This record gives sequence, structure tokens and C-alpha cells, in this order.
Amino acid sequence: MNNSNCQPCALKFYCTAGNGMEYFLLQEVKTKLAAQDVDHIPGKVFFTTTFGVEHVRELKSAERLFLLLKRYVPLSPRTAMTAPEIHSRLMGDGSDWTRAVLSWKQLQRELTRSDQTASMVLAGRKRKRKEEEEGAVEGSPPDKPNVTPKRALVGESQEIGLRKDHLSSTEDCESGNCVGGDTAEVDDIDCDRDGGLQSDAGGRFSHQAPPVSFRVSCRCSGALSRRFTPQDVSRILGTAASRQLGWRVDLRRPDLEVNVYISDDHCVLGIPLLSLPLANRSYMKITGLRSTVAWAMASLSDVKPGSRVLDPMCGVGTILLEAAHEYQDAFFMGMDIDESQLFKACQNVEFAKLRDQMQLLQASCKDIPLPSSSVDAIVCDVPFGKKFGSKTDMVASLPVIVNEMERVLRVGGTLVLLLSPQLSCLLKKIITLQPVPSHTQEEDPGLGGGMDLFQSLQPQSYHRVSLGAIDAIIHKYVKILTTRCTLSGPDSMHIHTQPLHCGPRKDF
Amino acid sequence: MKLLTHNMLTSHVKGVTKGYPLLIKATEVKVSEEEFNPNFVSRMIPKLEWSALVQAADGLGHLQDLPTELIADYEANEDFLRKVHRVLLEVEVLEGCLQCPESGREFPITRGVPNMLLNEEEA
Repeated sequence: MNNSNCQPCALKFYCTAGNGMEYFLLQEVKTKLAAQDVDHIPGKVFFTTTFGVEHVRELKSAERLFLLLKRYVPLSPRTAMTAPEIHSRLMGDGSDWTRAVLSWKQLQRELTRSDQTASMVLAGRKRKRKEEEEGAVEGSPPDKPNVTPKRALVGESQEIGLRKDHLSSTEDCESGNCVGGDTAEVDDIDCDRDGGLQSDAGGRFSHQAPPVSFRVSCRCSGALSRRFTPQDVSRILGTAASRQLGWRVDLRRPDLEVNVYISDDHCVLGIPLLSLPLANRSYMKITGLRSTVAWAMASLSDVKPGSRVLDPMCGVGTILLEAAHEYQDAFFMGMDIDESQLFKACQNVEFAKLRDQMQLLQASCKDIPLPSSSVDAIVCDVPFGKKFGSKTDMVASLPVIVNEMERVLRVGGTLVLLLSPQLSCLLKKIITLQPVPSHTQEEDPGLGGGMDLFQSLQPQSYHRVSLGAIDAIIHKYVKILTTRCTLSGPDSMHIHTQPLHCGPRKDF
Repeated sequence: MKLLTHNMLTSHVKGVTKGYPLLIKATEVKVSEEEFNPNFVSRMIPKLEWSALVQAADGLGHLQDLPTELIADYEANEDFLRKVHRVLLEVEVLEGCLQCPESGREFPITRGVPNMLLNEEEA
């Protein structure tokens, strides 16, 4: 990136996020990208950063990445805009659009340079997006009727009819007078113009000489959707872009797409930067749990250099792979009872080149072949019942499984579980009764007068996330050492937290 | 199965009080080069059962010049860390079994993955 003459420019982006993932994405952009102006609405996180796009694309809790074109908050929500209002508020003089396309071009250059794998290719040429994936995953306003995302495309109509040969110079576009015709050497973009875009010393890129081709794609909900279809809105904006900016409509293989999202409370316009979701990982061969959720779980598990991390029901190893990719100098152990899952996990480990960090075992989570207190963190996507025989099996087994996990976890260690809503409720009940040890003063006087020791799991946080068709809840616990102690003086033990209620142990 | 993993594995056959360390009976061992990461190695060392590591490496004939006692100030000692790295990460048992020192129960290792599953009677 030839940025030597200019300060890095701060660009505005937004990412879509699955329901419940906004929390993790907010943290991530701040931590990894020193993001400013961080804001969010359901399903979208907005941020500004000076970090290059090759870093932004590494976000792990986001679904798709967009360059922000415009964001508009209606003054009077629930009153639909009229057609002229749509034009004036979302297009206006077109300056936002022009600025955005210049940034977009710069970003495309950077993305080409940073490309490492064939699957993450520029948005301009390969459209492999899955419509369903976007529709299912993106958070939608909770109480608004959600229009199924018909990709409303601007009609290639004769009325538009402008076939400008070249993109107008920026000055002309700014003032709204688009002049076509002459070869606009678009790579001679003035650095000062938009606060940082660098002129490109290299030759012209072939898709810059003709005007940028585009299509508009809309999702509408709320009051506006009752007055206009997505196609209507696309047509209004598409026509405006053609007329005012000289852009060329192309429904099939446009250079760029403008995504428009309108609800009662928000209007967001953006340009997708990559054809594939960020959630598609280049290092994952066989997928299991949604990568974003797996990463979120890893981010909760407090992995440090030297940590030993266990997943006692690892399946194909997704969570451990996300963790190993994110955290350095830790050791990851995956266990599963199922040979075929382990075989896939092996392939994943090989593919991700993590053989020196991750090891696999065949074992039962009810009988973990590790000594007590030997593991620093446990992460686990607990099967919801379908794979575990039946739901009732899982319900009956959960206490035993969690007990085993608690045993191998060291004091101070972290436990992060993904549970179905049913199992989540069950576990909350179980934890408060967690484990009263067999050693009481009466049974084992050797322990020391009046002292009861028991180790337990202290809830830290819960996070409800969407897995697409269903919801799940992430539970985070820390293992603590608590005592009920009546001794005072030098023999008394430091109480780490308030003692948990413990009643007689129930047999499940 | 690398020796780093072996160092943690324990037998949980019913009635066994300390199923550790497991005896390695290898029929196929592979030694491969892995990128040396001194930070990783020095962080793993404090959690290792050193004598079990030495015993395991020796049993496979790969002890070489690894010290039988853990030395002090190993963090700065690259030479030492490299030896530990070799034993922990580069020696891999692909086929064979692990034997519980108390019960004699054998756990097979197939394609580098140990199978620690117990039967119903053993659990």
C-alpha cells in the first residue's frame, strides 16, 4: 500500500453480525482495530478505523464487511419517506456516493494485494453469495415485519439510457454536474480531495477506465415497506446514481453493489467489500459450529500463553481451531467419543497447520482421562440432544458431564459452554446445587476443625446467540475455591467469593 | 500422540488409584520437524511431570541428551529448550498402545490418536 506520503485515512465501515454477536464484535473492533465512533443497531456494528482493510477483514465475530456509504436516522420514525425524500436523503447531491466509490476502489486495490486464498476474491468479479445465509443470519429489527430479502435489482431500463464512457472527475460529481466523455485518469486521484486517498503510480486498472458498474440491492421493513417495494427503492436510487454520477447499471456482474437497508428507525447504505462472508474461514476445511460463535466462545475462555485448553466434545474441532488461530503459545486438546468426528478434526488440524498446538484423543466426556485440576480452560459446544442419542439422554447426562469438566479444571480456570435453551435452564439449576463434597467434618476429621472445602463453578456471564435456525446460550464460569469456614486467625482460609448456597447433594 | 499429550494422560479404570504414567508400547513412531517456538516450550515446562517425560522418551529410544532432571533457569537456555521441544513435539507415536500401570489395561493408539474409552465394566 503506497501510503508513504499520506497519513492513514480513517474509513467508516460496518459489519453485519448474527443475533447476539454484536457484543463480541463491539469488543473486537475496539481491541483489534482501535476503532472509534463505535456504534450499533440490531445486527449491525458501525466503526471507524485507520487500520488497513487487510486487518479489518480479519474480524472474527462479524458476518459481512461493508464500507459505509451513508447512514441516516429518520427524524420522524414510522413515517415513510416519499419518493422525493428517498432521493434527497439517500442520494442528495451524490457526494457521499462518489466519496464512497473512491474509497471502495482504493480498498479493492488493497484487498487484491492482501489476498492469500482464492476463495476471498474481490467483490467485483465473483458473486458467490448465498442469499439464504444472509437472510437467516443478519439480525433484523425485532418488532418489524421482516421483508424476505428479495434482492431488488434496478431495472435495466431505457429510461436510464446514459452510457457515459468514463467516470467523471470528482469535482464535477461533487457539484452534481456529471460530465462524461473524456478519459478521466481516475488513478490520478488527488490525495487532498478525500483526506487521504493516494494516487496510484501504477498503470490504469481496467475496471476504472469505464464508469463503475453497479446494482442496488434493498431490504426494507416498517412503514416504508408498506408504501414501496424493495424494487421501487432500488429503482429510485439506481436511476439517481446513473443520472447524477454516471454510473452504469449492470444487474448480472456489476463492479460493486450498493446495499440499502431501511427500517423505521434506521437507514443504512453500504458497499460490500468481499463477496464471501468473513465467517468463511480460509483455514477451516470441514465446518461444524458457526465460526463466529466458536470464536466468541474462545474469546471468553481467557486463553493465555501457556494455557492448556480442553474441548471434551470437540466434534470436528471448530472451537479449538478458532482459539488456536487467535491465541499464541497455548496447547489445545480435543476429545470426542466418535471416530468419524475425530477423523475430520484431524483433517482440520492438518489443513490449518496446527499440529504442534493441537492434539486429539478419543475419550468419553463422562470419563476424561486427565488428572484433576490439570486444565486451564474448557470450551465446549454441548450437543443439544440430537447427536447424543436423544434429548432425554443429554438431560440425564449433563450433571455428570459438567462434574467431570469441573474436576479437570484448575481453580481459577474458565469454563465456556454452548447450550440449547433447555439445557441452559437445566444447568443454571444444577450449578446452584453444585457439588457438595463427600468430605464433611464428621466423615473426615483429618481435614481440620470446622472446615469444609468444596470447589465450584461461579457463573460469570451468559450470552444468547443465534445459530441460524435456533438460538443457543453461552455460559461462562470460573472455577473457584470456596470454604465454609468458622476458623479465625492464621488457619482461616481466604474466601475468594461469597460462598454459594449448598444443599444436600441430589442424585440426578 | 505426542509426548506432551502423553504427559497428561491418566487411566481411569475403575478401582485404579493412580493410573499414571501410562506405559507406551509403540509399534510405529514418527519423528518430524516442527517449528521451534521457545515461548511455547518454556510455558509448557512448569506443568510437566518431568520424570514421566524422561521415562516416556527413554522408552521410545528418543531420550538422547535430554537431562533427567529439570534444570533451573531454563527460560533463557535455548539449547535446553530445543531438546525439550524435540521430545515434546517432534516425537510422535502413530501406532501402538498405552498401558495402565495398575490394571494393565491397554488403550490402543491408531493413526496418532489414543483411544481412552472404557467399557461399561471399567468405568
